[in-house]
This record gives sequence, structure tokens and C-alpha cells, in this order.
Amino acid sequence: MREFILLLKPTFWGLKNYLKDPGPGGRVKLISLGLFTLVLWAALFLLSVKMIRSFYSVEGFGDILAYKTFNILWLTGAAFLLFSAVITALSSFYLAKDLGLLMAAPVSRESVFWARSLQSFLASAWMPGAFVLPVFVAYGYHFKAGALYYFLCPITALTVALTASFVSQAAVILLVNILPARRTKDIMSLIGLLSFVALYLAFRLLRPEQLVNPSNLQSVASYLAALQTPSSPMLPTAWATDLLWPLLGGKAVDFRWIYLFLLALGAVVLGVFTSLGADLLYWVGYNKSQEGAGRQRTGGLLNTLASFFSLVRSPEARAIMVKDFKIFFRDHTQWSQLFLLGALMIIYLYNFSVLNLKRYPLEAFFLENTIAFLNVGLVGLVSATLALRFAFPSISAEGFSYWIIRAAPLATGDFMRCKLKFWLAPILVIALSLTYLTNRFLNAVPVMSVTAFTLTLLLTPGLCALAVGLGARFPRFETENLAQVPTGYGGLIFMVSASVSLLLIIGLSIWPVVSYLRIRRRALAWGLKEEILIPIMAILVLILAWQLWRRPFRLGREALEVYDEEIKAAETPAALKARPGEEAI
Amino acid sequence: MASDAKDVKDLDLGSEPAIRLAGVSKNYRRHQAVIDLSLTVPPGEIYGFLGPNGAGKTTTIRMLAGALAPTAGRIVLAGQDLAKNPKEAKSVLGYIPDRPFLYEKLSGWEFLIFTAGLYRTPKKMAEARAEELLTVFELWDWRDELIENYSHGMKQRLIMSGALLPKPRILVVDEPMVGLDPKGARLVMDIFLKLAREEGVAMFVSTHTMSLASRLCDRIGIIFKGRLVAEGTEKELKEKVGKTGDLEDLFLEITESTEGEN
Repeated sequence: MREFILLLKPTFWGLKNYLKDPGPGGRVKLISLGLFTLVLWAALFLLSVKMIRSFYSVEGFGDILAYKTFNILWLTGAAFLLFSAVITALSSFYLAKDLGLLMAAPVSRESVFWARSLQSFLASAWMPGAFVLPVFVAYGYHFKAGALYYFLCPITALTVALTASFVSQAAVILLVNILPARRTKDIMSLIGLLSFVALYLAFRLLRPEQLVNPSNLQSVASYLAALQTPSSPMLPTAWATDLLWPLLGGKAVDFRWIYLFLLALGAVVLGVFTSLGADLLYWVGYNKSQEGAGRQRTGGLLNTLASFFSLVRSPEARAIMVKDFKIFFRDHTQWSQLFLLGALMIIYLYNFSVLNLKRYPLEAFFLENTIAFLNVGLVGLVSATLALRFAFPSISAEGFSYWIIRAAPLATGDFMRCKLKFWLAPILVIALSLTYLTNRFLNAVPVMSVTAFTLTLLLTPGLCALAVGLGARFPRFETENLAQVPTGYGGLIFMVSASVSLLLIIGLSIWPVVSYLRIRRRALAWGLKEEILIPIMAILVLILAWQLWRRPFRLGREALEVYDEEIKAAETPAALKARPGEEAI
Repeated sequence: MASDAKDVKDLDLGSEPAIRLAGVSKNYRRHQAVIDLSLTVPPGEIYGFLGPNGAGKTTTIRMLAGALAPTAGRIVLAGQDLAKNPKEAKSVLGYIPDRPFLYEKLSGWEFLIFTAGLYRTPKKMAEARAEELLTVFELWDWRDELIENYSHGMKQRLIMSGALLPKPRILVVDEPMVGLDPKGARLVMDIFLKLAREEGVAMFVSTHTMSLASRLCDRIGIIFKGRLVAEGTEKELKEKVGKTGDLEDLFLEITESTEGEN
């Protein structure tokens, strides 16, 4: 036990030290992240309450839908935990950098395993836990649940989480004995991502909105029939649902303590099973994980595709782009995100293809063109998401190798421009394609199509520049997982800035667009107000887009010019400003 | 090494030293890592920079490489002020850090071609140099392997190849022999000596290995608690301190006596 606690101490000491002295700007970061979490919780809570109320607005559906959603919530949370626990278990048990030190230390391997098991559990459980918490509270609030619900809910969650975590840990111990650790991580990440994409596509292509369409009663009846069939009674998530549901006043099942007993027993049995597996296989697997994945040769298609960059004139830009292109397609954590991107595009276009505005013949012209305009904002959001996913981490992608760029005869601004150009081209093509295709689906008039195209052309470069600029302002060169970079503080600042910019630009353009549509529909003449205000609005939009393009990029460049990983935690912005001649370095 | 090195870059710096540090200081919050450091290194000289852990060696090296900005003072490389003309100053510099962080998903060959691009080396010359350096550093058979499969020593040799590819006039090296086996260490030492003696490359080498410094360096500077406390040839230093023995004894004597004075 003493060893076990000792092995956990570095993690807790690290956390304690960070909270005590989070470095310059760290407190602001912590406070703003705390506030953001509170806002997110409040939003999730309110949305969940609204959702549960809407279930009961349809007679006969309420109880079943609320019960099924409650069950799905447990199932989704556990499934999410199952996958994320595989990744964290692999990292904690086999890939962590300090394992070499621990394995060489005179501590039992059992203590190392259990300390890592707990760390892996905490690392994987906190996120689904944080997301489902406000939803469970919303259920309790809506159904006016008693104290027993609030008492049993966290205990149930803990048992379900432990069960899922032990299953993943046992699977990892087994898998590493079959495959090398790094390859297991690759495969599991890919499976996790593909499962998510498949679920996302399946859910959307089922068109759940048809449930509120009375003309689809046949499908609703079959849906209802499907809902009434019981979910798998052997799953711990079903026990969790059936334990808590009666406490919410639900009629579907009676309250039975047996479910809590089953949940606890399940967690303990799996814990014992994992422990036995660890005794037999952990050390063997650890040794195996130290072997490389084998020699891997380069060449082929990727080199042929990379030759496309020979069109880039600047040798430095060409070198950086070829490097980024090859690294992107050789790193599974990066290229696999293209699946997510593909799913996003399919769903986006699908939504517009099934939008039937001809149901409202009198308003069709106005609706189609207004939606075509508002679609610019949606395309902007897609561009912002892509920029956050790909352009924002592009600076951090240099990792510890950033010294190569720092030592090279290359200005920081030029380096950032390479990153910007590299990502702007595909994101702009996607944004313009989406705009073009959605306008086709909507039968937008040519003027509206041109307006949407122009606004997209203005917005997308600004959003990419914002992403690269803030990526440079908040770099995380030390990160091991690039996919985590957008989820940090800088990513949050980016999404807030991008959303505000989009709102401002769309807000400024909406009056001219609506005025145009009104005039055209009623065949009115242009008034003086329109003739004066529309050009002013257009100029304001141009200024905003220009500022979005320039300012964050400059901010990022200035920050990156004075960046140093050893001093970033030790220097204040004032001290950085006080340095002579730094602007030119 | 390449026999045409001098054709590519004019090595005649006139009276201007290849490296000049004038009153360079670096503060980390309240801690002074380097204090008022001034020194010069002429072309063709190998300058050994010694000091105990935390003395300010790596900070100085990183400032020289342009990876870190000084709090005060000037750094001039081949006549170019690093703060005012960073691109020009860095274009004559090769930097070899002590930790071999590289792009793991590139092959050795791709890394060198990438480096050539950063230094605007023409394609044909870049390919010829890459082949030559990979052969010299015994990495030719590994040229198409991803760097993630390289050993520590191989990565270190690849970094050296990258630093030498653009034919730098100045080479800044932090702990050159870390991770190298005896054969690799001997190879690197021979290359460094050849670069300095035959091609006039000025070298600034930070090391803890006294035997290496003694065999490789023309002049030695000892930094202690951020200050340059001694400078000269090994012989000059011995005369100053009035000590016989090897460089290690001399180093310990100088650092201990400075500590005593403080």
C-alpha cells in the first residue's frame, strides 16, 4: 500500500504545484476554464430539462422516451469510457516515459500496475463524468427526485465506470501480448474514431426529425414499437438504469437493491480478473512493448503526391509544406481525422438535400434565399471547426523539433505563413464547395449565391489566419498527442473569437440581404436608406475581415518570436516587452 | 568532406571574428543565467566552452543559435547582428543541440532535403551533399527509414549531417559526443578538426568531456554561475592558475577558487 501511494504522489504533487503556481497567465486560464465549465454545465442542464419536457409533450411517448434516453445516456457514457480507457491504459501501462525508471526501482510490479490502473481510470473517466453530471442532475430536477437518487447516482456511476475501465484494461493487457503497444494504440484509436463516425452517420441518416412530422405515422409506430422492446438486461448500464429509474418516479420497473449489488459485484469480479491477468501478462507485455514496430520504409504514392508542392516557388515554404504533408499522412492521429471531416461534410450536405421548403410555396423564395445567406454562417462554423482541428495545432505540430525552425534562417512570420497557406487551400476549397452545393440545393438566386460566395471568400482566410495566429500564441510543443491541442485553452479562445467574428460579419450583412430580398420580392424601388447603408455595411464587413486576417496573426507572430519552452512559465509579458531587439529575432 | 566548400561560401571575414558576443546577458525572471558575457571566435578556431551544470552553457549556445533572445548585449555572427539581421546571421550558422529532437515521421533523406530547403540550398547540390553526408556519417543504408526507428546515436549523427549540409561558416555544438559510440565519437572529432583546419569553420563547442576539449579545442572559456571566469589556451590557463596536470584539474581549480572568492 505504501508503494502504491508513493507511486501516485508525483501525479498529485504535479497537480498541487500547478494549482499553487500555474505560471504567468495561468490563474486567468484556470478561472476562465472554470467559468467555461460552469456555463457548459448550465447549458447542458437547461437543454436536458428542455429535452425531457419535450418528451412529455407528446402523449404516450414521454415515459418511454425519457427512460430510453436515460438508458442510452448510461450506455453512451460507458461506451465512451470503454474506448478512452483503452487509450489511457495503453499510455499508462506501456508507453509512459517514466515507466523505465519505475520498472528499474525496487518496487513491486503489482504496485506499479495498480497505481497506473488508478491513473488510467481517472484520466479516462473524468470527461464522460463531467458531461453526464448535468444531465443526471437535470433528470433528478425534472422528476423531483429524492435524496436517495442523488446519493445512489454517483455510486452507480462509479461502479459502471470501474467496470468499463477494468474491461478496457484487461483487453489492453491481452492485446499488447498479441500486438506491439504502439500498433495497438493506432488500431484502437482508429476503431474508436470509425465507430464514432459510423454512429454519427447512422443517427443522422435515420432522420429523427421525422418523428415530429405527422405524415410519417407509420415510421413513428414502428419506432415506438422498437422503443418498447427491452434493452439487453445483461449489461451493467441496464442495471444502472433500472436501479435509478424508479427513484425518478418512473413506472417501467420497480426499485430493487439487487441492481446495485450486481453492479458492485461486476466491478469487483472484473477487478479481480484484471488483477489476475496483470499478474500473468503485464510484465511479459511490458517487455514486448519495448520492442519497436519494425523497420518501416518510406516512398511510393506519398512521394508522388508531395511532388505537387514543386509548384511552390519559395524553397523554404516548399520544404515546410512537403514535410507537413508527409508527416500528416504518416501520423494516424492526424490523417484519421479526415474520416470525421468526411462524415461532417456528408451530413451537412444531406441536411440541405432533405430540406423541403417547397412545402411553403408562398414563402419559398424568401426562405430559400435567407437560408442560403445564413448558410454562410454555418459554412463559417464548419471552416472554424476545420481550422481548429487542423490549422490551429499546425504550429504545435513542430513539437520538440521546433528548434530546427528557430535555428534556420527563416523569419517567424514566413514560417507561420507556410502553415497558413498549407491549410487555407483545402479549407477554402471545402468551404466554397459547401457554399456552392448548398446554394444549388436551395435554388438561391444568383445575387445571393455571389454574396454567399464572396462572404465565404472573405471569412475563411480570416478564420484560418485566426487559427494559425492563436496556435502560435498558445503553442503546446511539448504535447504528445496533437489531437489534444485544440481542446486546450487556446482552442477555447479560438472558438470564442471565431464565433464572435462570424456573428459580427453575419450580423452586419443581414440587413442588406433582407432588404434586397424584400425589395426584389415586392418589386420595390431602391430607397435612399438602402443606397447609403448597404455600402457602409459592406465596407465594415471588409474592415472586419481584414482585421481578422491581420491582427491575430501578428499577435501570434510576436508571441512566437519570443517563445522559449524553458522560460515560458517563468517570464511575464512585461519582461518580454522589455527585451531589446527582440522583434527582429 | 566536400572539397569545394570554400567555393560556395566566402570565408574571408577580414578582421571581423566569426563569432562575437558583446556584453550578453540572459535573465530568467530573477535568475541571471548569463551575465555580461563577451568573447570572440575567429574563423578556423575551435572554442571550447566549459562549465559545471547550470553555469549558463546551454543558454549561451541557444542564444548563439538564435533559439533564445538575450536580455541585453549583442551577438554578431560573420558580421551580421543576430538581432537585427537574423536571417543573414542564421544562414551561416550550423547548430547541433544536445538533445536529438527530429521529425520522427520523416526519413533521414527527407530530413536532409527539408533542411536544404530551409537554407535555400539548390536541389542538385542538396542531393549531392545529403548523399555525401549520409555516407560519411554511416547512415546511407538507413536513408529511407523513418527517423523514429533510428537509435539515439543515429539521430545525433543525422542532426550533424543536417547542420553541415548548408556548409556553415560557424558551427555551434552542444555536447557533441552525447549518445555516440567510441567509433562515432572519433569520426565526429575528425570531421570537426577537418572543418576547422581545412575549411576555416569557426566552432563553438560546449562540453563536459574534458579530454575532448583538451584534444579538440584551440581555446577554452570557462563559465561559472553565468560569468566567464577564465579564457585562453590550455597552456595559458595553466600558467594563469599556476597549475600542472590535465584540463580536468585546471577546471576544478578554477571553478572552486571562483566559488571561494564568491
